[in-house]
Amino acid sequence: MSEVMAATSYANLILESVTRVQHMGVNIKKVSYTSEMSGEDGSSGRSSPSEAQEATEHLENVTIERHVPRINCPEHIILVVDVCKEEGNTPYKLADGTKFSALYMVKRALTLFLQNKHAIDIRHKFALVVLHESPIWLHDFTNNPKEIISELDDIDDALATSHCDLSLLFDLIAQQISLPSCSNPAVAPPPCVYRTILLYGRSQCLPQFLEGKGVFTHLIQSPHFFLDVLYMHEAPCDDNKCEGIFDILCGLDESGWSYVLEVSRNATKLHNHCGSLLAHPLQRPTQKDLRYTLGGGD
Amino acid sequence: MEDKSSPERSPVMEQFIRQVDYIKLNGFPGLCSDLAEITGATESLTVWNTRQDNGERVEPIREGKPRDELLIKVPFAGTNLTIRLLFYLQEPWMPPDMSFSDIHFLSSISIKDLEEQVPSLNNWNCSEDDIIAQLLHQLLQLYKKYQIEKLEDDDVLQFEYQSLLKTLKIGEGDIEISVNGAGHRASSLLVRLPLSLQDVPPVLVDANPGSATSLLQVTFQGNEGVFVPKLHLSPRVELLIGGANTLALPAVPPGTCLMDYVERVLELLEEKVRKSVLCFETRKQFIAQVLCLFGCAVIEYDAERFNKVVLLFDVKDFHFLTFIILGPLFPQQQAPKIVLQSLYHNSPREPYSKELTEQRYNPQWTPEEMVKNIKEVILANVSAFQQSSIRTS
Repeated sequence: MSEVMAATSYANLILESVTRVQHMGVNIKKVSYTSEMSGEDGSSGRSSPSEAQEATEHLENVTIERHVPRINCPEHIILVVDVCKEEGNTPYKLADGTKFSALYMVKRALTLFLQNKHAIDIRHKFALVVLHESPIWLHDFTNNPKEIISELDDIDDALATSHCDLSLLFDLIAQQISLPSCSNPAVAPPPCVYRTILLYGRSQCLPQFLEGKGVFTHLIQSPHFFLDVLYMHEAPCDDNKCEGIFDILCGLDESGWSYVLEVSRNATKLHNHCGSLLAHPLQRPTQKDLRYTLGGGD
Repeated sequence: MEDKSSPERSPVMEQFIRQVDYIKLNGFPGLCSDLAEITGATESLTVWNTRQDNGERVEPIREGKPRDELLIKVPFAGTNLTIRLLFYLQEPWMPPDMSFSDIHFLSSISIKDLEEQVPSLNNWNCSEDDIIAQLLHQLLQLYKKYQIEKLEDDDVLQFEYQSLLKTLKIGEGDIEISVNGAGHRASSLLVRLPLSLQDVPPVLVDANPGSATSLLQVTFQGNEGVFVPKLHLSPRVELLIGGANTLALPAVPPGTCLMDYVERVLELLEEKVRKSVLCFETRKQFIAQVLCLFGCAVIEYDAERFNKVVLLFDVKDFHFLTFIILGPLFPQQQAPKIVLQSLYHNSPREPYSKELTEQRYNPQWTPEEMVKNIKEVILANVSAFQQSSIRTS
């Protein structure tokens, strides 16, 4: 029995330990993006490998601690789908040569995301926002993925607008949700958490807070609100603003706990990223610590 | 009871209804109070007042309207005691008339007993919400005392009663005993077993917030100490160890000593509790081990009951979800269930998934060995899973 108790104490230690994570002063997401881009298209490389290395060595600077218990409470996920289609928008090309529009691929990937998330826990709920001229709250929270999938099927892309105002988006979200208030959030498990997944698809239009960041800052300060970003873009080149946009999107991660992912017309990678986004924000590692490889030699 | 069709109720009626509601809300007296019932009077009640001991019928005397009567059925020692209270709502300061299904009880009560042991009758404060509840409680105590006095005529039962108190280290409030009259129903007793759930992790019982009560009912047959046992468990206990009717009580061969038997039943229940807690702790250790090895691939896990963990893996650039589910019979009789699920393909309305059923398993493995085995099973099957997910979509 004492062996059981010892094993239990060890288990408790692992399960209840505060995750101490090292977070770069320089944004790791940006470094991995730029080094990848310089690999794909030499002409667009803005950072050298040594810059990436330097940033990596910066690692030991800042420590982040979790401020909420690692409980798998129900998630209320707000999917924000950008439907703007820019001129020169290229399709996804699969290995067998078939082509699919960017919006079609997003719909397929989100369908699998919704079905998988529901399979993990039927308590999770989903809402749908469409991002165009101004954001539209298309479907309120439901734990039936079919309802969202059905709405998604009906969405068409639209002509790209000249600007994207993130203030409007977070104003809308703040109006629709009610953040839990726990007297001691470090200890008390929340009844639910809110997670916004922004799926941004433009390569020419920089998203901005045209009316200030007040509401956004208020939301992001809550230990029960999370923001993830999936940036789907054209191949970066001098004619587009992919890198600048990605910088801005990375900058939205003020807590260090967001996932900011990017993909350029690679269908498999898009679906893989949607897989990463399945992770529960209170239990998942930080993006930097993700290790999915299951090797025989481990 | 409540006359909802009448547009106005008098304050007296309102108070009466509040008093009845108080009982329903705060519980009835007695060990098996969950099964107690309270209703308005029915015609069948007149049966009690119509037979005397010599069997002659007398006319029932009923005054007031039917809704001034209350029938309270209180389980007691494995039988039922029904108490009938007749109120005079036109004179609410009057305490109710009483009659009982056990007619010998009423005839055994003296005025002195009532004065000393049922003080609410003398101090009938009709404006107190709990006055009827107090009365019921006092009446039941009096009934208990009456039964214990009857024990003096039954040496064997008296001895069993005292032994139970002493050996189980319980109080008189933990046993109800019903001693048979000559030629009438069998004696029976109900004992609240000292089964403690205080070391049980709250998450295993919190879904049911009631009391954690385990009652053993014993009905005696004949004079030779033969008895029939029956177990009652409150929902909170059943949530932990299973329904009372699923637990096989030990057989009772002739000559079984009641005391030994009760101790065996208590040990059986304690063992069940220990096993449930051990299963929970094993699940926790298993999940902790999974997190230790695969924490950087975790998608979600059940952090309360440790029944499930979902991971995301990449084998040669093929990404897939892995569900590991621990059933109620894990670890002794059930291996962890492993299901691989696609991120890319539907089949057609759900993501393609496959349960890996062929795996070696040894319940004696440590959590570390179990997790290592699961990794091997996944690696051995992922290629086939990849092929069939493409074929099926």
